[in-house]
Parts: sequence; structure tokens; C-alpha cells
Amino acid sequence: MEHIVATPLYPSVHEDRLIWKKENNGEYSVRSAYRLCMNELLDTSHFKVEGAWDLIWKLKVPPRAKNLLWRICRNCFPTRKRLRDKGVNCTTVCALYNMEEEDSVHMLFNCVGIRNIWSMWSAFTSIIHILDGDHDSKDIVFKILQVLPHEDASLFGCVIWSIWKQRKNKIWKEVTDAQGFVFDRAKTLLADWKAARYVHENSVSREQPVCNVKWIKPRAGRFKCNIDAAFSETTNLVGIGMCMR
Amino acid sequence: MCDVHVGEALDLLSAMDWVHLLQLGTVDFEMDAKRVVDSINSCHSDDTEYGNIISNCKALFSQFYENSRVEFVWRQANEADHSLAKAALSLTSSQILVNIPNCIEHILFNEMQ
Repeated sequence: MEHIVATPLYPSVHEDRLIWKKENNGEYSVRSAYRLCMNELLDTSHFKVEGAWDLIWKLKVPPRAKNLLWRICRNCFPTRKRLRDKGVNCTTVCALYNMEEEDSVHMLFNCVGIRNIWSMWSAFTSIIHILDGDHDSKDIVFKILQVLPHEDASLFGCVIWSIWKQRKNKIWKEVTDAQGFVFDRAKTLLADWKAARYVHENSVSREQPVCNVKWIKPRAGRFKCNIDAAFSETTNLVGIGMCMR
Repeated sequence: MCDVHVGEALDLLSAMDWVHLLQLGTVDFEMDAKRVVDSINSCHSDDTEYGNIISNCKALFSQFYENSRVEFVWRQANEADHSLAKAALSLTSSQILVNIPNCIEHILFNEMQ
């Protein structure tokens, strides 16, 4: 109680009112309350999945490819087998070749047609032992991202996206993409995205001013007050400086 | 230890508090904290500690500094005050220096040329 009364107030504070601290405007919102619950009140550790997730998020690929890789690794990727597990009444055979059961490892890596696409890639020889050695798509993705250099890892993400696109085209549009086209589409996606980023980054850097970094005298009849603050972690102090000219 | 933008806002607040007592006439303020300058010049307000300091600054500003401006400068142009603020960390109480202190003499000399 004493502490509350002793709190220093700004002169502009006239009346008491309720403020919800988690929003800047002081008003309660479900959004911020949800965040409060998820981040501070509830234990969410059991939702966490082990893995080098940075490998995915640091990839230099379009966000849709990253998102797809993440969904694959979190096993929330709608293969027919997964849909069936979740109670959707559908067949579980591979959508492209109607042969084996369509789980994510089959759909992305092991299906005959998909293997052909991967074998078009120069980096294929360095990842084939991973494809043949593992039976979990999350492990495969992480291992591949770990061994490949940046450029190849980016293309890997785009090929995955293009394979997924091929399956969607087959199911929803009844169009069969040629295997060579699937691989080229991945390369085009990556190249276009990089080109767009290149233009964007250059235009941003052009806005960085190079001049106007020198102090300028005030006009006649006016004063100029320059101010700055300095912080010291060791002494827990803030120093402020003002200079009138 | 407070957040950097809170510290910078408090800096502006005490500057405004002090400068109008000097009755110098029109004074423009310059600082290198972009966020503070933007907040002062926007009409948006919020209820955080920072928002309160800013609205205090605005109140002072509209009361005493009718023709003045608060402007952003690059850090390189704000060197003198940066040095002053650093020196202030080692002082126990606030000081008003009429003569130019050693720590910024060379900077001021260069800038006033």
C-alpha cells in the first residue's frame, strides 16, 4: 500500500482508471491476453518439437517454401495418409501414381516419379544416402539442410515446394506436370525471388543518406538545443546531456 | 535500468522543463532518437510509461514552445551531447555549465567553424 501511494505521478495524470498493461492503448484485448497466457502463464513446452529449426527459417527462399518445410517437419502436412489418420474419408494411395501409400516421405522423396525429379539435380549424389537411410520426413529434411551448402539448400526448399505444387495441380486441376518442368519451376521460382529481392534491397540502400551528418548552426534569432542520453549498465544510471547554442 | 527510448524521452522532457526557464526565445530541439522524435510529432498516444512521458513533453511543448520544432539528427551530428551525456553518468548531481567543458571543447570548436 505504501509503495502504491509513493509511486511518482506525472502532472498530466488527473484521475484513476484501469489500464491493461499488455496493450499500448491500455484497453483489454483477447489477443494480448492470449499471448500472456501462451508466453507467461501456461507451460507450452510439450508443444515444442526438437530440431534445428533455424536451418529452415534462415534459408534464402520464398516464405511459402519455408512454411511448407516447416509444416512437413511438424507433421501437419496433408498427405492422404495423414488425412485418413485425422478421420477424412479418402483413399490413401499416392495421388500421382496410384501405387503405394501416400505418406510424406513417399510423396516428397520415394515415389518413383519424384525420385526421377531429384535425380535431375547435381546435388542428388550427396543426399541419396539420406533419402535411402531414413524413414521420417523431418529427419530427412534436417539432415539434408545440414549437409548442403546454402545455394543448394535453397534450391532443395524450392524443389520440395514445386513437388507439392505438382501434386496439387494433379488433384485440383487434373493437370500432370512433366518431371523436368517440376524441377525447372523450382529453379525459376528461386531465381525470380532472388531477382526481386535484389532490386528491393538496392532501392532500400539507396535511401540511406550520406550527407547531413554534420551539425548545422541555428538560423539567426533562434537557439538550438541538442540532447542525448547515455546509459550505463554497471551503475544502473542514465546520463543526459543538453547543449544550447 | 530503463529502456533506451524511455531514457531518451525523459531526456527531452527535462530539456523542455529547463530550457523554457531560461527565456531565450525560440529554441529548436535536436536529438538522435528517431522513435522519440516521431512520437512527439505524431498525434497518436498510448498508455505506457513511455507514452505518458511523451504526452508530458507534448503538453510542455504546446505551452512554451509555440514556434519551435523537435527534429531528428544523425548521431554524427549530435556528438557533443553524446559526450556530455556520457560525462554526466559520472556526476552525482545535475550541473549547468556556462563555460565549455573540456570533454566537448574540440567538437564544438569544429562544429562552430
